[in-house]
Amino acid sequence: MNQKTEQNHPNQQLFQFDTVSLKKGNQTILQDVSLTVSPGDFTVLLGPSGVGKTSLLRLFNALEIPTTGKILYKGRNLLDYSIPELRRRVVMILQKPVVFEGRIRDNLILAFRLKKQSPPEDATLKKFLSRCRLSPDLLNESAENLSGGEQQRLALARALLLNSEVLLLDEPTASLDVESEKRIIDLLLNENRKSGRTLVCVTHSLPLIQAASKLVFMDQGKIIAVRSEASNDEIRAFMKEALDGKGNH
Amino acid sequence: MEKGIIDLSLIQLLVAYFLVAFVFAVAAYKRLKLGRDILVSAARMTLQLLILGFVLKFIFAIQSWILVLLLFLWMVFWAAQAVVQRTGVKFAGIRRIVILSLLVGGGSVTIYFVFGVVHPSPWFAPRYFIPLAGMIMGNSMNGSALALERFYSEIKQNRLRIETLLSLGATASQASRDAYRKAFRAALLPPLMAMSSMGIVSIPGMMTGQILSGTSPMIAVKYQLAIMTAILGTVALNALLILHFELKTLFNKYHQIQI
Repeated sequence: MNQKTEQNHPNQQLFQFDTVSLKKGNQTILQDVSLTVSPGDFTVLLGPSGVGKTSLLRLFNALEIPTTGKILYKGRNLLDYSIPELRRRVVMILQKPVVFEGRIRDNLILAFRLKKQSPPEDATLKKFLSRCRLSPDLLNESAENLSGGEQQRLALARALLLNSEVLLLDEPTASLDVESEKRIIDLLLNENRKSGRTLVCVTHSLPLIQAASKLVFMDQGKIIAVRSEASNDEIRAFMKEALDGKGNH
Repeated sequence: MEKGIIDLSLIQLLVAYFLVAFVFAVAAYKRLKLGRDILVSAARMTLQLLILGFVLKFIFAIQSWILVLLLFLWMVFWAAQAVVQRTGVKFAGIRRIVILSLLVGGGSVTIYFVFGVVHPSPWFAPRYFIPLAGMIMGNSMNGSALALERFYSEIKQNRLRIETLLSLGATASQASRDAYRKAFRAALLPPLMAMSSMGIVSIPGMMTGQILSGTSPMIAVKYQLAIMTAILGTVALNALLILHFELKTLFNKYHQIQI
């Protein structure tokens, strides 16, 4: 694999991971991870299951705390920020979207209620529903009746309403049908390219991987390569190699 | 024999124990595999209460505030032990937070009740202090166990939901609000049910005891009313304390779930 040297502009870096390790009990989940993410990057974390991709993603918004090493966000230790405030700027959408009981409207304004802020007008909420390819007429419908793909898009709309700088996405297209997957991908690319939102994503979806500006290859809790691009064959070869190495299928 | 009280002779007590033998026989006949449990429970009850009787007789005779206080601490220790064992909940520091909640919660309600309501003289008069503290601690124990277990299991079962809220900028306290409400409700439900059914479904134990020992029913009623307010108060206070400490233990300062 031809490894390109990562561009290093300290002043422009949004995130800087410096030899970060994560342990749980006696188990080492991540080891000596060093990584930078610049504003507007679309970073994809690649590797077989169980290599620590999700754990690495969770470190970005302090859902996990490093055992050793340091994470800087805009040049300042991530843990020095107010964590609830940080999580509004660096929003994570978990693999299985959680939709809360009540109307779609209630779900959209949840984060505003948590911060005791007045929620956006209905017109704004409808605009975000449309942006996420959901019908604006659904605003006062029950959120629990939505399909899996629609719930995923509602979770995205809820996150986008916060106008965060960074979106963390854990398998955003997993278990979606082809049509739903395409809609989510279009939406994410739009957010990245047109709105300049920084994305960090764990995915096995080839179209998403192809669209990334940075590919982080992981194996056994370590980053083994960082590339700005890779061919489909290289990606497939890596995934197969990594899977074969672990004896998985 | 004290005036107005029918003391129970050994033979009368043995007649009562025939009911235990009856239950044992039924369990054996029906092969319920409960024989050992029945025997152990009956033996424990007999032994524990006999020891308590001797200890109380001794403490009543000595009239020492130090002994009364030691007995109170003994109750707190064993109540905490029971909470930790009965709930089966395991996390670092659990024993410390249970003891602290029982000591502060049960202790402050006992002090409030003794000094504010009953006014015995001396304040530590064992005849009043010990049974009142016993009832308050017993209920504190049940309330703490229910709140502790429910909060823990709600957090564990709803991890995804809680992490979604945390990811949207909720604090640990906001993200666990539903779990907190359910746990608090679970703790308060038994005393609330007891209060609403009292006098219709059952005559409460303390009142029964007082009436049997010759106290006027109206005095017994007043004591029962007062003790029920203490029970409700102590359960609520213990639930507040245990949930506060549990929240601080199950989430760290970075609003991250620790279990």
